[in-house]
Amino acid sequence: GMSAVLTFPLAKSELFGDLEPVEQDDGPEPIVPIAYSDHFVDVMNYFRAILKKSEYSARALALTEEVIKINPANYTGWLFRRECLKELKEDLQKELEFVDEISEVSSKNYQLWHHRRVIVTHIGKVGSELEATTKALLKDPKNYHVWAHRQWVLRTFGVYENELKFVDALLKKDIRNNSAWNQRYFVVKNTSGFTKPVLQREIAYTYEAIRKAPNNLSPWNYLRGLISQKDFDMIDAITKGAADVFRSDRKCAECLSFLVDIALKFPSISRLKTASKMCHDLQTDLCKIRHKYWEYQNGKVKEMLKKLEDEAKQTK
Amino acid sequence: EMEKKKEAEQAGEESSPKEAKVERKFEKEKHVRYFLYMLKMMPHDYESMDMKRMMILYLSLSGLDVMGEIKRVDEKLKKRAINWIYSMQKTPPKFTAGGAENKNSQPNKHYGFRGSSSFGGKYGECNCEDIFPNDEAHIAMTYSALSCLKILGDDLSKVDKKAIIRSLKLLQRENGCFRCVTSEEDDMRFMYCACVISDMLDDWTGIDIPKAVEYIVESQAFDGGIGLRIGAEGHGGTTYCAVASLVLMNKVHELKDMEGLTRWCVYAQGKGFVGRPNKPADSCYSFWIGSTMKMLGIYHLTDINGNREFNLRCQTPWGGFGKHPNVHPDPLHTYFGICGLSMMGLDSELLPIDPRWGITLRAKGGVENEQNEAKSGEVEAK
Repeated sequence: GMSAVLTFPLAKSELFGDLEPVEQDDGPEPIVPIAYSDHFVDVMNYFRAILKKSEYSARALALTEEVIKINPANYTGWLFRRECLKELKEDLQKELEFVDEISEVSSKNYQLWHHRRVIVTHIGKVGSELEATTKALLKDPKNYHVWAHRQWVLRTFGVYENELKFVDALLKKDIRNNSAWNQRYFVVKNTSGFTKPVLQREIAYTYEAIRKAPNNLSPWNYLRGLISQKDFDMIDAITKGAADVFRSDRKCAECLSFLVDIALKFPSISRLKTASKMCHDLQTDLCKIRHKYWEYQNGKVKEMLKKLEDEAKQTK
Repeated sequence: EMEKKKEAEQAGEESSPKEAKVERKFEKEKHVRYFLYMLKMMPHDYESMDMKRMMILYLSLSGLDVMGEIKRVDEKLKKRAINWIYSMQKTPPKFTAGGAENKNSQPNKHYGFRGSSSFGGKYGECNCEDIFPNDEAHIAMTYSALSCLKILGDDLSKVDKKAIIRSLKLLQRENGCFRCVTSEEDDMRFMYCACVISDMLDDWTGIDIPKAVEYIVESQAFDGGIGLRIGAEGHGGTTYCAVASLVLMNKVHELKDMEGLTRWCVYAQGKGFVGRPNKPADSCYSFWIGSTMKMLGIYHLTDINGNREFNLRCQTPWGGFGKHPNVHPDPLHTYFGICGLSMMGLDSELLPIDPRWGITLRAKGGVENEQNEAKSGEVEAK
């Protein structure tokens, strides 16, 4: 495709000499006005003129680049750019380079990532989407937009082969990265599923991570995800792991919290009796900031305990 | 332990020893002036807000309202605001191409309110599709506009409600979720906008409710939080959007893991609230998660004093709140920081909010007694 070179102000450029700029009409007394710079006004006046003409041309394409640079949240700019790219049959690989460039400055922009997905969809191949998101996540490991994009890439192109390895690498850098734990669940769910051998593997993996940082909420939540799988019955394995953690750190609030959840999910009289004591310890000592929550949990534990004890009496 | 404390200090979770000596109070007048300033003029580094001016208007007006100071918007400024809001309305053309009166409100485009006048039409021109074919409303700006009108006491008589509701059908996707404009993707934020708009206009014919509910239920993550989309990480803002949507649709009971959601919300609080586990506390989550807990009837499980202490530390010397202590202010964190404080009920000057609509009970109207908790959307604790 051709490329046009813009000179500023556009009002003085030959390239836009034929166009009548369209000023914004905010009325006689606008509210929440913005003190636009001259450059912003200049670019937007000519963008409005182009919109009015529905002109999909090389100069329009170049103009959308500037519109996006001055305001990456301008979704009309991104939309019109796509229409120009289509009309001019532009090289979409090159377009991804443009997206990379804007992403350096505005990686937390919804419109940019949507645009990227539309372009990649049109290209129809995974290309270097995994590499691009890997690079972005190594720089900013919790960027919500990049993770969302990566999930889209995986789902769309089915390229899960190395994803667990990638998650593992990120967790080695930061065992507390909640986004990486979420991704782990996403991968297992969408590939092998949580079969018995997979559950065994994941339980072992998670307790290994917990040993490194026992008060890290993310892996404990991951365990909660594991025990909520349909027909989960590996209660002994999961309890043993928690008991091991408890033995090495009797003040680990996350461990006790999890054991209380186990007791509520797989109730037995002995588990519930221990859980009630744990709630008391959490409430009065180990996790006082959440004392009302432990009171609430203990209420549930005692209610369930009473129910089981009553049932046991009846069967006698 | 020392390392953890240092990390927490850096993240603003803990006061430095010097800071801890300062008694914090709510600097209301500074924040009132902050919002009044925004109404009159936003500085040039707000150019990135150009498509969202209606939302900044909502944050400012509602912020003043929550502080009990909507009266600082005098009659003249009020009129100015209402006129500008209505000038942003995009309605179907009054006449068809053939010249006859447009009885069916065709064509089937996205009507409602725009975020700004950047699209190029003439002031007050509700429809210029023939000149600017890319012009359309924006679902979050429609929500913002309706909120602003209510806050300013307008009766919505000039709002084309039918066109807005019909546009929701256009914006809802196969998966049940909603887009904000026809050219962008759907996500949980706009699910909320669709639901609150329907409730405000008291017309649910624009939403396929079962599909919407299914999408939300599927979006609950394994840790109990709810993400932007299915598979995404549980997040404070999107959890609010999802729960508020379900509450508005009377479908909260459809959630599969209420206990997980309860735990996720409780655990989001250290002193301040975080948006995701293992991230630093941020003032706006005291609203997103606080109001989620209000709607679920579990707000009493929060630590109000810790919450208040953190929020107050996010105030800046110039007025406004930043996301963390010692960070520059912005309208969003200012508004939601103040809303978070309102919910705590410790500052008598702050008005109660309806967590479902995101405006004061006063603005919502129809409430005799502002203290009436039942009307604020609080659910009886089970």
